Amino acid sequence: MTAGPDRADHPASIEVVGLGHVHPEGRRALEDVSFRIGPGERVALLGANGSGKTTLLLHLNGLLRATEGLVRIDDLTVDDGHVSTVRRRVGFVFQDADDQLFLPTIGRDVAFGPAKEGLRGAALDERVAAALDAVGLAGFADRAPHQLSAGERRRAALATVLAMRPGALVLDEPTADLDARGRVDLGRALDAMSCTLVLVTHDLVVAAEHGDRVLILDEGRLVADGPAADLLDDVDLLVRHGVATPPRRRRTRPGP
Amino acid sequence: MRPAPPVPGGAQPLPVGATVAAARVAALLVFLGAVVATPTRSLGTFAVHAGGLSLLALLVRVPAARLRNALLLEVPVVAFAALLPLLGVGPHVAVGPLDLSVPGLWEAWSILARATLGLLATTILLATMPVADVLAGCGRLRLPSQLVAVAGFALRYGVVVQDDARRMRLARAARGDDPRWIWQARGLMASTGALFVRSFERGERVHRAMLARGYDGRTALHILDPTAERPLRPTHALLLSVVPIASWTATGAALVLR
Ligand SMILES: Nc1ncnc2c1ncn2[C@@H]1O[C@H](COP(=O)(O)OP(=O)(O)O)[C@@H](O)[C@H]1O
Ligand SMILES: [Mg+2]
Repeated sequence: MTAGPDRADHPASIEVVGLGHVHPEGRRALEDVSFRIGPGERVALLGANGSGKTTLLLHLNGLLRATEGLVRIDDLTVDDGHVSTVRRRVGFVFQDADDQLFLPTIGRDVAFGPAKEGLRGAALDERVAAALDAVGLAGFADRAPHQLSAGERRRAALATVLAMRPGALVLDEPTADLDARGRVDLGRALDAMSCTLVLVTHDLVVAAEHGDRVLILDEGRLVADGPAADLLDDVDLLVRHGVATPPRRRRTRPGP
Repeated sequence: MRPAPPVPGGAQPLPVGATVAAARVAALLVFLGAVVATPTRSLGTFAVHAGGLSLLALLVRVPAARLRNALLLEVPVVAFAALLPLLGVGPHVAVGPLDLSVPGLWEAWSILARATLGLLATTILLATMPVADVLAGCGRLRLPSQLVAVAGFALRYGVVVQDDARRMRLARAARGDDPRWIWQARGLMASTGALFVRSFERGERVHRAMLARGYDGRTALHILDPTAERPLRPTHALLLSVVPIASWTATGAALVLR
């Protein structure tokens, strides 16, 4: 165990001010986005395909650097000087677990982050075991990624990030390829977490389960920000921004 | 000591299962050294190598299917070796309608015999312990860490790329493209290109995911080091060294008597 206050006990705050992003090919992905997420808040980020969700997440972890506006994690502005601290503070679970799990076994992959921070020996083993346990994968350390189901791989990817004790966790469409049981298992792991949570999803049920607050992006602009209980009931709003399909009357078949 | 983890392929981890990974990798390297040093025309020495391997394969009960699959990797080597007797110079012998170069035949034999023995030996090793332990063993033997990292990466993403390739082949077949004939191979060529691009994009995304976890371009390979020390029992050490020693004895004899 490391000495001093446990960082995991201090959820991070996230502040985004006037953030814009233009991809190298000249395509604008974000425009004047501003919001503040307090420590320990749980936020669902919704938006149609291509609305800029992934681009926004990449800014939160310093993988993209703001050229318009700024991003602040706790009291640190995400820039060259702070990027390594920010990456330790904000854990990123990528959309495709195969991108994240790059070592031959799950255990070694989970150890990668903490080992990079200098943890060794029994302390490292302990950290790995705790992270695997937190996602319900105790005993999976010696398995190869391809021996896991999609749901297990997703949770293993989560464990690789949890092992670094992040203050905030951002997840890019974590339930997209999961079946019902996979969702339940992942949900259980997320529920047990005390850190700040930003969850990108297409699934309104998942958003309702894990988000206290909802942000909606449309064509790179933040078009809604409010309590999940209000926004997720506003069918017009959701339909207008391509997050839900319009309600349809049940198709009636001509009788025999 | 932690219990021996399950091994893919269903081979029995015993009796060589409790030895240190490094010792096994070392035994493999020593054996491969003997195979490489064997004079091409010393058929008896090759027989000793093959006999030792068969013995090991039986002892650790490697499934035959696994050995067969490994030999499939040899197909490109076979194709290459088959050309040598046709293109070789020097004295020729008539085999049926073919006029084959004798040095070319020996050359082909040399390549095939060594490749086969090397592949089988490596397969037996991989069948008896998890890949990660093999890599850890390489690390302990002070094989260059970059090499170990590349091998680990190749093993991990070999599976992913194979998966991609299989999905793309299914997608092609579902649309009626089943390249069994060479003139149908256009779809195959196109998707090979697509696979290459996909793998490249995969590489970019993996790198980004590594950066997100604090990777800074310097290798963090100490995590490939074995965490738990597993003692090498004398009986296992003996068993493990029998095959490489026998192989080297035969090779040495062949070199001296040549
Ligand atoms: N690396 C990139 N280069 C160029 N354009 C990109 C890149 N990544 C994303 N885009 C474009 O930026 C926009 C937002 O993409 P993204 O953030 O991935 O959306 P989302 O995650 O909401 O589907 C899209 O129009 C997409 O085509
Ligand atoms: Mg996306």
